[in-house]
Amino acid sequence: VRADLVRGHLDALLLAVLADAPGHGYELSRRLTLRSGGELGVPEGSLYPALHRLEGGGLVVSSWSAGEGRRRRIYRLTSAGRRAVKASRQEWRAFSRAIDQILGSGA
Amino acid sequence: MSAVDRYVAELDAALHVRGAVRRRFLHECRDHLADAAAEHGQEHAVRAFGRPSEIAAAFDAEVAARRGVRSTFVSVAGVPRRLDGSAAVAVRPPLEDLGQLIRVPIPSVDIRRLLVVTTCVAAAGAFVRDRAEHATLSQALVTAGIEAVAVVACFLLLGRALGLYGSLRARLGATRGGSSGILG
Repeated sequence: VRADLVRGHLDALLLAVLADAPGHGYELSRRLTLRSGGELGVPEGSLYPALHRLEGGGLVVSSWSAGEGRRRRIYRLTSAGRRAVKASRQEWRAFSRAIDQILGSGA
Repeated sequence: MSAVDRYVAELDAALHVRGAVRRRFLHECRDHLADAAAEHGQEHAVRAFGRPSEIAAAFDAEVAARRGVRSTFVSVAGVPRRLDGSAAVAVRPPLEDLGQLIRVPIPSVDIRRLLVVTTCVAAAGAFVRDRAEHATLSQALVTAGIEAVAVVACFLLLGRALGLYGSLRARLGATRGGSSGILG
């Protein structure tokens, strides 16, 4: 899948994988790859500007955590973030249904 | 120098943002690349991370957007606090810094004048916008009126939030007391 198609959904995707459990950037990138079957061609570095945006919007919080001999920034959802996940799932269902009715009906 | 070190150096050079936010970003990127390199090798790790110039530009843009919102709020919050006349200035309006930087005196504005100008500009903007969208004259006037009321309400709420009215009342009380002493 082209990166520019995914970019507009990156915030919602990150929130959705954070809904599973808190995690650091690399862990979140792995979850995105695993859950999409490796189909999303997003540059991994673009997760960090997105995480910064989500944190600024109060949807995630982060803190340093020491483990495996290294300090890592762990991200977790706030209650506003959990509400945003719910809303974006509903929005996605409506959006994908509408797109599918147009693009999915061709031969 | 390893591929990861080279990549982080390029990212570092491409970034414009400074301070703690930059250090944290670079720290996280280096961590990510170290994890990815351990799992897939250094070349794959840096390739999957994206071009350093694009990642740096995206991060710079995010930080600038956040700082832009904050600085607008600080400007708006700082001006009435200063125009209150009290010595306690919570935040220094950025215009002061600009004035010092370019060495051009920027006059301070009276809060009542600022309120009138802001209200007029907002109302005129709403009127022009409505007319451009083919609203009737009366509709455009109503919209302009609503806009003006909204601006005044914002000023009042902001003044209350900043505790502006307490000191204004105190100053008015002092003035009235002084007047009655002279006129009475």
